[in-house]
Amino acid sequence: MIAYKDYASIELLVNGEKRKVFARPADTLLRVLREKLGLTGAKPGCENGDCGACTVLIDGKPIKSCLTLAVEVGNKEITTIEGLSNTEIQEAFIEEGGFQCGYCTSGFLLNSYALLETHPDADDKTIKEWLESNLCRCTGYEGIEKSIKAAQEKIKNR
Amino acid sequence: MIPFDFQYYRPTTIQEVINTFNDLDSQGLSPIYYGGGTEIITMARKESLSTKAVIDIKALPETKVLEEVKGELVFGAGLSLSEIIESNLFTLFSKVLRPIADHTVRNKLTLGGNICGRLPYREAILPLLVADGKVVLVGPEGRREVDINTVFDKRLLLKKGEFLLQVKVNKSVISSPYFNRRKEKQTLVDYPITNIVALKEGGKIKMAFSGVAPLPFRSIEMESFINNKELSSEERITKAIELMPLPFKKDHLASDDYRRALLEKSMKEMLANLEGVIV
Amino acid sequence: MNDYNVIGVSTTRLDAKEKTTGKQIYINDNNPPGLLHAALKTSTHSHALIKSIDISLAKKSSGVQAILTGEDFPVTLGLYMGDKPPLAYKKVRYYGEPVAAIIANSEQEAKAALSLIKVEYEELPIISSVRNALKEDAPLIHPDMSKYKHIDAIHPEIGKNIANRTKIRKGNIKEGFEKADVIIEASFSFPPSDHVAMETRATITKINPRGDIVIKSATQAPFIVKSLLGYNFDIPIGKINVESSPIGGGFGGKAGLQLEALVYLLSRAVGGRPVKLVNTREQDLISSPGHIGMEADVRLGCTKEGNLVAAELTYLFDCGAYADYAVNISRAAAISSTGPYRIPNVSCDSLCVYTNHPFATAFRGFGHIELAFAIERSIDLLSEKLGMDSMEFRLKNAIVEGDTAPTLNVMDANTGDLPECIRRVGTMINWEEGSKIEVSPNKVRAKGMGLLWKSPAMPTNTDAGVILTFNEDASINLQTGIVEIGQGTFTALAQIVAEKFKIPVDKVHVVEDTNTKTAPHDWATAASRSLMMAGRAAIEASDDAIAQLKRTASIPLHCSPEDLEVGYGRIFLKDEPKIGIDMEKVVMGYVYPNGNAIEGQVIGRGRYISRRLSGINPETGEGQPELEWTLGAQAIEVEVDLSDGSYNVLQAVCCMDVGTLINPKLAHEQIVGGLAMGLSFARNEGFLFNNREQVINDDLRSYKILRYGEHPKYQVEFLNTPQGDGPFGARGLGEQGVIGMPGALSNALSRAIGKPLNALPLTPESIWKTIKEEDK
Ligand SMILES: Cc1cc2nc3c(=O)[nH]c(=O)nc-3n(C[C@H](O)[C@H](O)[C@H](O)COP(=O)(O)OP(=O)(O)OC[C@H]3O[C@@H](n4cnc5c(N)ncnc54)[C@H](O)[C@@H]3O)c2cc1C
Ligand code: FES
Ligand code: FES
Repeated sequence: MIAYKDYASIELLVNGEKRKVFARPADTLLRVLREKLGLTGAKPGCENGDCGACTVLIDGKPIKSCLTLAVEVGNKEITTIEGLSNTEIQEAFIEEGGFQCGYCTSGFLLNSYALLETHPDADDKTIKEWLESNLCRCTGYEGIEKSIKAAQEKIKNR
Repeated sequence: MIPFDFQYYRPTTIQEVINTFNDLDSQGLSPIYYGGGTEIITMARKESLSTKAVIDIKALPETKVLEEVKGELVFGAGLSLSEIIESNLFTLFSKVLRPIADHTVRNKLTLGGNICGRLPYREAILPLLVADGKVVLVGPEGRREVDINTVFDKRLLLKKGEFLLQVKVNKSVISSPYFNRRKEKQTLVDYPITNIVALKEGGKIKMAFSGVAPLPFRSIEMESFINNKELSSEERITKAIELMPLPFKKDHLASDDYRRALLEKSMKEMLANLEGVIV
Repeated sequence: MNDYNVIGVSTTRLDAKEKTTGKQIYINDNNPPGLLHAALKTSTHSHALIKSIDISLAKKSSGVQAILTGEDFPVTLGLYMGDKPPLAYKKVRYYGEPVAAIIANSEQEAKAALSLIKVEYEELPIISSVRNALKEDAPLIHPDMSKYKHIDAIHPEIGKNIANRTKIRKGNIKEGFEKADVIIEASFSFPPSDHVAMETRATITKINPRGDIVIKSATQAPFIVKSLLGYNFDIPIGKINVESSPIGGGFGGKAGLQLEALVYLLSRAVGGRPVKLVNTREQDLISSPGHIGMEADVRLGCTKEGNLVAAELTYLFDCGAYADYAVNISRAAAISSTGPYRIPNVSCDSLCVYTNHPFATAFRGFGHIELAFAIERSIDLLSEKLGMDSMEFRLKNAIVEGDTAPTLNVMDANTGDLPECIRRVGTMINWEEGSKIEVSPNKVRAKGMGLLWKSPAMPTNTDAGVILTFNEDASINLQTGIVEIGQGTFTALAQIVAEKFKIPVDKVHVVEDTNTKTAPHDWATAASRSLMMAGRAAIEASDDAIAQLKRTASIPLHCSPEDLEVGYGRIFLKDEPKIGIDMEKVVMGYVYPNGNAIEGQVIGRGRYISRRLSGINPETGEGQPELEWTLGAQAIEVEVDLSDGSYNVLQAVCCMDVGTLINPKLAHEQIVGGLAMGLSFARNEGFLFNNREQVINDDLRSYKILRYGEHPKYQVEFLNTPQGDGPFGARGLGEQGVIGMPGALSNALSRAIGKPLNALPLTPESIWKTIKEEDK
């Protein structure tokens, strides 16, 4: 049985690297990533599960890191935006105007990345089902939608 | 940022859970069970919940069961809604779970948390109520398997220290005709202002509701009217609504009048759908 | 067509890599050594006396360094009117108002101590609407208003809840209505709402041992922060340095003075140690200022030929508890009060009214999205009553060059071609097909149009500056006081400089962190003026640097500087381009083979200050407050389910005359973002209050903004009538996208159900209710 009574040393597997942190059981993964590991790509936008700016991948699935305790994911694979590089979706976001202020972008990228890894041929309905988990106030979602479509094309030609 | 501290336990056997609960309880830590944590974390941040210890039940293999066993479909309470939806063992169940929260949150929030949570929607219970399912409850006093309709009265009536381990439905329900209509204020990612789930078995319609009233419910009285074919379709609906065990809710999402109008509309659609009756 | 290298090219945003790898650093990502954290205790009442605040328990809580309340800072601050204490003093005036601040070693310790502070209140009568606030016997929210300092351009009315009244008296309103054959009268309203920038406001402040104040803040207006702090706290202004890195969305909500004054005071209270305050989403929504609410009464008349002749307009802005930018919003709305229509006789009273609601600050569109809702609905009501197609009516009355604005200012050649915008929008939305089509017995598709105009509302001496310095490889460093808020101005400025030097954009390095100590003065990144003004400054700075390059090069090249041209990384003879010298050899001063050096480095300076602006006459509104106008037309198509009022927005289209496009993709994205925000506002948004005027939708679970999948199909077109005084002929476009959307949406929905919908937000239930009223 795992038991954490107080501040505890926990080991996280982040972007393929083992990282030891000292955290409270009540610390959310979002806070630990940002404040203990310096991975500030995950953003707090509400800390209430509503905006998706804090999205990270746990074992490949998008999760809101503000709704997750760090102690819960000790044995899981965590991917943050810092763990993605030169992916099709990142390229597409640049080419198709997937962002403006950039604050929602990490969350959208990780969610979209997971979507396309799971369903490379996702249709509009599936794309909507996944992406309605995130809020963006700048783009009106047009650029994000175009980016997903463009990334799908790129993935086909991988 | 959760401003206060609590302890975190993740037992792997039922016995461990019970021992941990008893132990923490005797220390006065008022332990609570932890499913997906989505409600616990958000409420804790707002300090509308306080606890000194949480017991995560997701490492119990029993809470992760998702399969057919001897003619019954078994769903572990620690499954995420996404896991249940994707399995699609019970189409109506998947359909009802799909609009809860959003896709990313559904990857985390659990069946047990939705049914036992404080938020007054508990939509996951609706298909189980109409399917006359069973719940497996485990607590310091032992394990019991009971008909859901006997232990769910607007909320799951748990004894002290008891938690939801599994829910079960008879496999036969998957071929029964069903109907589900969920309405939101405006945005799809929102709580329901009306949600009706219906299943037709043996020519009878069974109905359960969320969002309409302050708490979710199934009402046998309402069903007796909706199934009374001597009445006109309009009357069946009106009478059924008159017998609602709780008043229509009115809040920032919708007025009682609007909820009533949407419910009437949904029920007409239900009759059209399940009986081919055009109202 | 001009033959440009990089103007008009959609070059990639400079910040693309940072923002797609999570490496863009925002204020809250910084945790400097020795950092302390602050948390705010906020009011649970919307209007109450503070009887007592007991901090004794909280003070003993672990990690707490200091606790401050209003008693510690009995001063009032403001932007245009000094009416707001940094922490509520003796009284709270809205739900969510900060009453105490805790500074602790960690954020968790600060937050944990909050619940230990006990505040005792005595409730006061609550003012729940502007109309109630204006009643004769209404209690005063600011009984001390006569003691507040305010700028001359606003006109508070002492003894009332009126923070400002701006008047327009154009022509003769009485005669105007006598000429009218058709007149409509209607009222419009929407509640206060919020910007919902995805990044909540955040500030870190420290005071160095020598007394220098360093403020890192998510602000659109670092120079305003600096000057207001200096002014309000009597600090020598040179000792204040405000730094702003790119911010996670502003929309006006991070202009003005936000958390900065308070955090400065907090840092001061702990001996200058760095203190960080980050709004929770809840506090960002209600404690910090949001988007203004409004109630409007419109009387509008036209002749039987459909010519507008008179408009009588009363705009009652709900600024909430404090004046902030709202006093100027009400003024801007008066200046532009008619929307882009030719109306010879206008009477407008635009009031900024105190209520016990969360207070309001600048919001994208600054008074224009608000007035446009009232005007565009009125135009539809009037054309309907007259029996003329609303698009035809708009075409007939659209303002054009030579017409006069409400300020009597004559619209010049820069006005652009609004009628053509309307026609283009008509084509894009297929207006001809009909503006209402039945799809099935319960489903209707309908279209609605809305026009827009906007001029920046800003001080008459609004300015910008650009400094160019050079690197040894002849690449250029560009520094301004602009803040990157998502709009991409840095990219456009780099393009302007690259164009001037005929070099690739990647040879221009923009300093993306703005710092008031090193950057040239800049009013604020607001009012859609940053590209226009800083663009002009960038041109002047380039010309200045080019002149220096020519002078230095002319010496070794043995020619007159006038014979030289700069481009493609070289300085060369105009008529014999082969003869020249690489820029690299000149930018740091020219060095002869023997080691002698001359002239020194090139530093380009460019400035811009708004031209020929003046205040307005307090009785008539006559004057010249508008720098430039951007005009356009928008339309929306909806599909409505008449049985329950639910609807989908199928299309949102826009045509705007923006002059030269510096970067078409950026421009398109700005407009689309604006359309979405305007739509979201009209469709979903607004605070919901209970009977004690407490906001009940104070998080993003209950305060809904537009989501992925709810967005319509967008179409955007541009006209390019050049702005004579704009950089390469460009004009502002950052805010405009929002302006016509509420009018267009409500017009489309009103048409669909055949009944007027004059209040926002347009929720399905509100539509259903209106449909039902008809049945009765
Ligand atoms: C963004 C968002 C949107 C939402 N939208 C909806 C919606 O549309 N409809 C809806 O119905 N709900 C909605 N919810 C609420 C949500 O259903 C509940 O808050 C959630 O289901 C809780 O699940 P959890 O697994 O995260 O529970 P937890 O947070 O882990 O627990 C919630 C409560 O249930 C108890 N509990 C958990 N598991 C068990 C168990 N196995 N046995 C006994 N007690 C248990 C806990 O002690 C706690 O009191 C939403 C939540 C979020 C975050
Ligand atoms: S910060 Fe996690 S969902 Fe908003
Ligand atoms: S890019 Fe600013 S919130 Fe999405």
